[in-house]
Amino acid sequence: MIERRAFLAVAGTTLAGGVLAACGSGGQDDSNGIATATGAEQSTAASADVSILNQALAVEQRAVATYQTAAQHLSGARRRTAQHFEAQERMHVDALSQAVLALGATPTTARDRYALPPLSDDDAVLRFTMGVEQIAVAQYLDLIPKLSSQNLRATFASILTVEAEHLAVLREEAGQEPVPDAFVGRGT
Amino acid sequence: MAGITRRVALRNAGGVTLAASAAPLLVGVRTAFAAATGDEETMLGAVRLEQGLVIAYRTLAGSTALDAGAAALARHFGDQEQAHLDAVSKQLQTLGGVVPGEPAPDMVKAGRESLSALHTQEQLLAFAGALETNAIAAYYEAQQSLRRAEFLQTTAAIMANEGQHLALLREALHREPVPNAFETGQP
Repeated sequence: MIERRAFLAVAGTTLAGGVLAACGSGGQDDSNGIATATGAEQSTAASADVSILNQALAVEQRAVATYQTAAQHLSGARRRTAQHFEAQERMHVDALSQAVLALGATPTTARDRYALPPLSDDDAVLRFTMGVEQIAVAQYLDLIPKLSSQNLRATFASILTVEAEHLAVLREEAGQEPVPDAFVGRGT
Repeated sequence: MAGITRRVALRNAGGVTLAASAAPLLVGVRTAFAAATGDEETMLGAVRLEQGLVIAYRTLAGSTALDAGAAALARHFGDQEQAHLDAVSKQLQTLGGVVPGEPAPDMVKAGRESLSALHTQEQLLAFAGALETNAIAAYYEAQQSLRRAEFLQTTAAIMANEGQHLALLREALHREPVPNAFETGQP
């Protein structure tokens, strides 16, 4: 309980409350019949959610590394945008890590190094960052229905929406149509 | 409760002051899923929500207060809202639900009232931003109540697209396009 209060004090957002509510005693979460499930079933559902959270965490850790690299290669307003997006990806990492911890599990750790393509100019950096965001969008769309916690589904959707917004801004910066498809993740 | 909802709706206007008469459609969008108790009712709410957005963008696109670029943006977003409407209508029908042939009269009336008080491009774009914010809030809540995987995926993909619309509207209003790390539809 002390840890929960401390995290809420640090995070200071209703979202953090939602994440922790999703990971708490289970009594507040009745999605997919979890509230009436047996203890063993609850444990299995929570274990599956931990696995899904760690998959999302790995995506976010890669996104942080991507924007760190992008900021090193860009300048001016584009660098500031990369730094802003990196800060937002770090907030996703923090929220997801706390959610894993709240479920009594260990968050996956970031790799020491990530494979990078040659980033010879701004266009290459933008293509790379857009690719990483497209993967993130596809991952979240795939993962959302697999979560047993209804609060975590909403949290994932809120992160998905931000990644889609990043993608729109990056496309615009690259001179592309920023919102080409009515449904994100459909091959764009 | 209605007063609170109305205040929330108006706070979402992106910093631009909107007339109180702009609230009805915003409230209608924000509370689209309020009474839903199952997937069918939630998807019916999504249909009504998207009908409201289609009406709003069609009206905006025809406004003489918008310059050519803003009008093109409104047309593009309106086309995408129509695609959302088609998709959620189809999914509602898979449950045996009946798609309303026309937007609800109260939604049409709310749209007319909402837009009648807005006269400048800034006000109209802020209104669109407020609509998108409220739609995101509604879809965020839907993620907590929907059960079927295909509905969760469709509504999440739509919610993210509304977020993209919102980012471009913020830019058009000279604001930071992605101010929050978590887009929940809260002001």
